[in-house]
Amino acid sequence: MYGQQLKSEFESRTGSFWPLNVGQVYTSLDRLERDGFVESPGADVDAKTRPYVITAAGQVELDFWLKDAAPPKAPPRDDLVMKVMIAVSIDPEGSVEIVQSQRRQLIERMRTLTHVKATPAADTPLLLMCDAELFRLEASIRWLDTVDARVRAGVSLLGAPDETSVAPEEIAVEEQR
Amino acid sequence: MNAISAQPKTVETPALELTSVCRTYGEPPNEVRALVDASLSVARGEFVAVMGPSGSGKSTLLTIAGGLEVPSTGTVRVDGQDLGGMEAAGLADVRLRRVGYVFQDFNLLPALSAVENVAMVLELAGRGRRDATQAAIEQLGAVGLANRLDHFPDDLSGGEQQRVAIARALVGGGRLLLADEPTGALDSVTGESVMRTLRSACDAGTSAVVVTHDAQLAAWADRVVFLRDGRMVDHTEPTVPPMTGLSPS
Repeated sequence: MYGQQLKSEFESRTGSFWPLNVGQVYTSLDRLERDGFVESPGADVDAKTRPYVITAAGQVELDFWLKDAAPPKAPPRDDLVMKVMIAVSIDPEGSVEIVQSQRRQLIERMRTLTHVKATPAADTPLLLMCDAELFRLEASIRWLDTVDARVRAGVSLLGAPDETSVAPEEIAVEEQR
Repeated sequence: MNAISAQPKTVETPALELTSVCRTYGEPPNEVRALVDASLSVARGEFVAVMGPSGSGKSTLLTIAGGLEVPSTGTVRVDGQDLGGMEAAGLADVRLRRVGYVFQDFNLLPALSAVENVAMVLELAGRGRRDATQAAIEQLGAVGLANRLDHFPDDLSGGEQQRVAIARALVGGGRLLLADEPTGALDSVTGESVMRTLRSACDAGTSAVVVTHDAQLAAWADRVVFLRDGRMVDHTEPTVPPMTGLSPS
């Protein structure tokens, strides 16, 4: 398979959500060839005109990569979470409107994605990518619902941490293990 | 937060129109205000989802919209017909001919086949058996169950049972569909097939109100209305915004 082909295949199989830079594809192919995971006849020919084939070692590595869980990461910096936490800390009761505004905008984004899913042109990669994004947005909405419920229950997010509270850096450390 | 009336831009007689509806249970000082000054207009062919936490008044709104419950104050119009002041028999007739319900647990009669479950609604409304059966066959075909006509509920999957329930709610045409958590008992892919069925029905002219706490379900609607403590506090616009920023690149 040629580099340009590889780029097209990757994009069509992942719903075209992450367009690739073809230069990056050739750089990666060079490294894979160096490590023995792909091979290509005519090493002296320009990479753009050379077909690449996966090797047996490359197949083993690919199988491992597909089955291996993504490495754990510290909780990502999330603007939604930050805005809502700041709003709750300033004025818990007034935060209700901010939470609702965020919820409405997330639902509107979910409607757009659902509209995409409902179009006859939606193929399996696009459906799967829309599903992934929809579940992510739904998780944010469920978090907002929980914020709402906690604020209604009168739980102060400004209180001093008690002995059961866990600092964010501890969560990150725990996840790295 | 101010109450917001969620009104679409339409000049046609709405399929459903709630105006300043209040519903109170009990007596002061222990009264519970389930709905407070709720106004909602659903256009023909419009699919509206109502979201809100438990106890926000979602189910009360649905039962009032379908004439199962009477509001304390305010008016309810189905197809322009005011349900206020109607006798029990009149309300029963509206429920039978103008409104179709879909519940979370399907509520099909286990001793009747799919086609009999659907045809029964028209027979109760006075249609002859042959005529009712033909309409039921067509409606089941429209929800993708042409090959399940003679199956009994126990022989159908959850998603198929819910589609029979939708066919029963829609058969005969022109009825307002009211659904309470219609995919609550289904897995996500099966739930999506039910939502696609509802979406197709609305694209073909059915008007529907679905109450749910499920955002993925609500996202199939034309408009989402948010309830909180019995008040309508917010709603989305009745158009799908352009798809921008889908790709993170």
